[in-house]
Amino acid sequence: MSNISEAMRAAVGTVTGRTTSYPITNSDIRKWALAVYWPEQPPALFTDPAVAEKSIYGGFVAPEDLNPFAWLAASHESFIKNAGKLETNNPDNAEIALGIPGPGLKFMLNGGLSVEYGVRMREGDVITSESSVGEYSERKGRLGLMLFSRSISIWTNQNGEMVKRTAGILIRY
Amino acid sequence: MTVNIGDVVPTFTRETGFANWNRYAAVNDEFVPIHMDDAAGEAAGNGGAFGMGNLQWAYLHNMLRSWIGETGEILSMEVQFRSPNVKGQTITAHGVVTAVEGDVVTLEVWTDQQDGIKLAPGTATVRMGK
Amino acid sequence: MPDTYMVPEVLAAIGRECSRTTSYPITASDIRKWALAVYWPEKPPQKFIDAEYATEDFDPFAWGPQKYESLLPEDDGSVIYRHGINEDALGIPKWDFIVGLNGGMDCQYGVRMHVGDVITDVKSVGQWSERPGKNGLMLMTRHVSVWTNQRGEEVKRTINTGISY
Repeated sequence: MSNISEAMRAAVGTVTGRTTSYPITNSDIRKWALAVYWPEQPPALFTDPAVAEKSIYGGFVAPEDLNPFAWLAASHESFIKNAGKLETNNPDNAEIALGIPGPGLKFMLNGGLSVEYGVRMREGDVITSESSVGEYSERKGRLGLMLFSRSISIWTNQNGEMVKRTAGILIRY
Repeated sequence: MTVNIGDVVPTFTRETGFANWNRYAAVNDEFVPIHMDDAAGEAAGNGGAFGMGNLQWAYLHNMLRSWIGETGEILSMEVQFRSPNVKGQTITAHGVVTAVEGDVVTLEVWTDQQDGIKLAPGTATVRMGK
Repeated sequence: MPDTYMVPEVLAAIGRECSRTTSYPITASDIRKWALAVYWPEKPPQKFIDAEYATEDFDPFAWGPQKYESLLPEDDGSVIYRHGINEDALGIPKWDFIVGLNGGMDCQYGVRMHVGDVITDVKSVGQWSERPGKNGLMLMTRHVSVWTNQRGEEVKRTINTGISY
């Protein structure tokens, strides 16, 4: 027996949203670094143009953890059809948003986040984040048959190079 | 630098409170009541306002970035936020090498507070700088 | 409390330039985020999102300057005076004030701040004065801060008034 329906399987890979950043500025990089290293000084790579220029990157790169979408994105499109039908804390929200029946499980918990990095974000980069439906999987655990679903977001730069791939895991049982 | 299983990464430590959190809120536009207001944090069951998970995430990156050197790369990280970072805690980011394959190193990483209680455990992979 | 605050050190300090601070070049992101913060929770006018120019109240020195120099030979410049001036280096006596109030500020704006501008702030001692109040003799200090852009055009002239007694 399985909680993964044909419709759920077919939905894997569906793009649910796309967000594009404003160009990353050296000020964004400097202030981000000042905040996350505070009260100590951040590495000069993030603050000093001369040091950044002489580094292997030949210019400013951002800390890996920088969020280029903070404050405002240049554009955002949502491809979710049923946003109005979502209910707070409904474990089936992921499927409702896609217009398919959910597995109807009662409980859910956050299964964590995993991130893979590609090329560094640089001054001037415009980052696009595309969210999509990730794989479903199941496992027998102490809570019974547990359903693992993943939401994927892939960041790419203006050259189409992958910057970051994030998988968020939702556990339902 | 030769890296071996069991090697301990130099830690990254910060005493945390509104001075750090407000700065992070400012750059990340993360003005959430539970991080700014003791009453909201209390209502959420944390005894007061508490720090952003994202800031611990950043501290883990700071630790690794300094260890791998300028030509190194952080390849991946995953963590779970198990326990809140409340005011006055001294947060330390830790890493221990669990596997080495060429220049790619896998680590167990975590943040803990001054009593040694882990707040955010996880794993990371890095490519060591030349 | 002294009979007068207008001692020779104070009179000698009036008009002296104390510090010169240079900003990093202003970026579109700085202008946009500042506007988002000061208009919050409403959306700022599109011209600020598009960073056509900065809001008048924008502070290009937030998060730290690119360069800071003290202009007082008595001050080595190791401490950045972001808002005030180094009164110790000017030899101003340390009076035992009970109250120090921000009495307000008076700004005159010149040209606007744009993306790429590098702003220089020169702070100096303005006219100081005293007057009797119900809590004794009050000292009114005026610090002058003049901002210019990289072309030497005046962006803003601020007089900050402090009241101490």
